[in-house]
This record gives sequence, structure tokens and C-alpha cells, in this order.
Amino acid sequence: MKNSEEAIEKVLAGLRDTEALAGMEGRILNELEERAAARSRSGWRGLLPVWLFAPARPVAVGSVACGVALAGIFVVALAIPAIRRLGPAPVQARRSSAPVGSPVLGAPEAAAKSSQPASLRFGVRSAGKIKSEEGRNAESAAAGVDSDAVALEEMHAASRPAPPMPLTEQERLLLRLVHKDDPVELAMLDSKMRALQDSEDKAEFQRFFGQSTKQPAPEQSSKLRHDNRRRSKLRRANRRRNRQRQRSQERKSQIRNSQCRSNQRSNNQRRRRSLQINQPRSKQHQGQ
Amino acid sequence: MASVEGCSLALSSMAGARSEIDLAALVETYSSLLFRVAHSALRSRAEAEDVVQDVFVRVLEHRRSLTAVRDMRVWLVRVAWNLAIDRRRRIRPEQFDEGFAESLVARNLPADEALHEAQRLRAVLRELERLPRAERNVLLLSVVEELGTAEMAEVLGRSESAVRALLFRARTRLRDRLEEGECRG
Repeated sequence: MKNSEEAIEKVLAGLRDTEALAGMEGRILNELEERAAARSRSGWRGLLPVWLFAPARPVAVGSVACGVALAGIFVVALAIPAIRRLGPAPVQARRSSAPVGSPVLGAPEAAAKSSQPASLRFGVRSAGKIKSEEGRNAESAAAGVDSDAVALEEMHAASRPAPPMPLTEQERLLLRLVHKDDPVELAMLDSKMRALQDSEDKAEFQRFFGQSTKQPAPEQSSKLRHDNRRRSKLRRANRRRNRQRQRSQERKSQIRNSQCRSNQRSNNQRRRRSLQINQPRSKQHQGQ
Repeated sequence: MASVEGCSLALSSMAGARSEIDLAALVETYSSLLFRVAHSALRSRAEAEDVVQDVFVRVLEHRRSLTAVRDMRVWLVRVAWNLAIDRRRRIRPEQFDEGFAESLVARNLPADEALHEAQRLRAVLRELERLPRAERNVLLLSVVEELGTAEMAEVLGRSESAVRALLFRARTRLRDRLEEGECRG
């Protein structure tokens, strides 16, 4: 037990009494001065992240530099084939515009001519982008050639009269509506014809209405009679009701009048009585 | 020791008055203390010196915000301790144990006894490393005489009673294990 305790104490005392190497403070101060001077010299470093300049991170700085270098190599590797592909583009455009054979400058040709310097102006592009642009140019050039050929053919074709157009159902109806100078209307302008037409219409009217008034049909006459009876019954009933109403109103008014009269009588009687009572008193006063 | 503490108190009071801290004065005052703190954890002089330098580099980087530090001494010890613990993960202190144990053996001893003594001290260091982390940390920090229980508690983020209990347990456990090892031997 004693041995172990002694050993522990010895180890702890050794840890406690260990002195730093000579000149540690000076070394630390020198290092700190160098760091402070480096900081003051490179003020722009304050804008960048601190981990880039930490003393214990040279690996990080190295990895960043390697990454930048690799990225540059990758960009150059992409740029070289893209620049090479930019060369044959105008040739393709010329080939596509050649079969048209027209003296007029086509739109695709002009577009190709205008797009060619634009692509060169932008400089280096990615290969995929350039490929897709070339494809689009070729498609648009082919479509433009077809439309130009059709337009030229139509322009040079001989002019002919327009073929007769068949009328649709709606057009026919419209024509019927709009159409005037009907033969019947023209005939009505003649006075003799108009008089004849009028006489015919009158005779027909007379024929129809005269027969209906003189000889009514048996069924029609029975119906009419029945209707007339019903109407007369209704009228009678209405008259009776009106009479009853009038009578009741008259009775009511009579009752009211009688009540008013009785009231007046009673009032008159009261007045008389009051007068009779007052007269002897006044006589007494006069006597006194 | 008392002079060092008085100086530290004076500096801490001056720090509140001045906007920037005098770094040279800080290095002169605290470098030895911080070295012992770091050495107790690392058992290597070179590594401990690097830790002290890193502490003052931190001070240089955060010198404008150091005026808000309440107790500069405890703050520096805590930074040094945390840096040393971080460094312990990269370097294994066991690799320095052999040289450290030999340095502790008295030179006037015969060779066989010196060898035996060095083996004993290595066993102590080995058992020290096998202790639970909290107990080991308290025991290593208690080596630094300038630090009281309250400061140790503040550095380790524990209560004073917990620090005392951990220290007692650490010593007891270390002694018991060493005795067990001697009995087996």
C-alpha cells in the first residue's frame, strides 16, 4: 500500500514539477508578433474565411488549390472540342441552302449568317450546347427551304378565274330571306289583279262566317245554350248577393241612426231636467 | 505563487479598463501555469508548449472580445485544458510514458533498481489512463497546485463537491488497482 501511494505521489509530483523548455515565452511572443504582423500586412485576408489562413490547415489550402487547378483543366478540356466544332457549322448552313436555287436570300441562310458571328462572339461554349444549336439550325433551315419553294411556286403560277363555289344551307336560307321581286308581290302592283284578289278574299270570308252564323252546328248550339244558362245563373246569384249586402248595410245604417236618435233624446231629456231644476232656484234667488 | 496570483488579479482588473489586452504581460504571467496544465494532460513538453502557443493565438484572435471575460486566469486555463484534451485524441500520451517515467527515476540509483522504479511509474501512468474519464481529468488537473477546487470545478464545468468526490474516488481507485497489480506480480 505504501509503495503504490508513493508511486502515485511521485508521478503526480513529476507532472507538477515539470518545467517548460527554456525560452518558451520568447518563442511564443515571437510567433505571436509574426502572426500580428502578417495580419496587419494582409488586410484583404479578413474578407476571406479564416480557416484558409489558419496555421493548422495547410492541407485545406492545398486541397483548395488542387481543386482550382483541376477545374481549370476540366474547362480547357471542354473548350477545345467546342472550338473545333464551331468550324464546320457555316459549311452545313451553305449546304442546306444550296438546293433552293433561288436568287432571293432565304431566311434560314440569313439566320445562319447572323448566328455564326454571334456564336463566335460568345467564344467558348459547352459541347452539348453547341450540338443542340447545330441541330436546331439544320431543322429550321430544312423547314425554311420547303416553305420558300412552295411560296415561289405559288407566285409563278398562272392566274385563273375562281371556280364556282357551292352554296351551303345557311347561304341558301340567307338568299331566300334577302331575295326580293317575288312574282306574287309584282302581281299585287296591278290594281285589277289586286281588286280580284280582294273580292276573292271577301267571298271566302263571307262564305265561312256567313255559314257559321246562319246554320250553327247542333253540337255547337247545345254547348252555347249550356254556357248561356250557366252564365245567367251566375249573374242571378251575383245579383242576389249584391242585394243581400245592400240590405245588410241598410240595416246597419238604420241601427246606427236609431242609436244616434236615442242618444240625442236622452241628451235632450237631461238638458230639460237640468233646466227644470235650475229655473226654481233662479226664481228663489230673484225672490230673495 | 502569491505574486503570480496578485499579478493575475491586477491584469484582470486592468483588462476591464483597457480596450486591448497586453499580450506580452499575459504570456509572461500565465505561460508556466498553462504549460503545467497542458503537460499534465499530455505528458510531453513539446506538445504542451504547442498548446500554450495555441492558447495565446486564440487570445490574439479574440483580443477585442476579451474585455468581457470575467476571470482571465480561469478562462485561459480552461482554453488550455480543452486544447490539451483535443490534442490527446490525436497523439496518444502513452507513447511518452516511457521517457517520462525514466525522467522521474533518480539518477543515483543502481540500474536494476532504476529499471524497477521506472516500471512502477509506468504502471501508475498506465492505471491513470485506465481510470474513468471524469476521475482522470480531475486527478490530472489537481496536479496543478495553483488551481483550487473552485477553479477546477469552473474549468471542468462541475460543482466543487463533485470535484472533491471525483478526486477522492480517483485516488482510491488508482491505489486499489495498483495494489491488485502488485499482488498479481
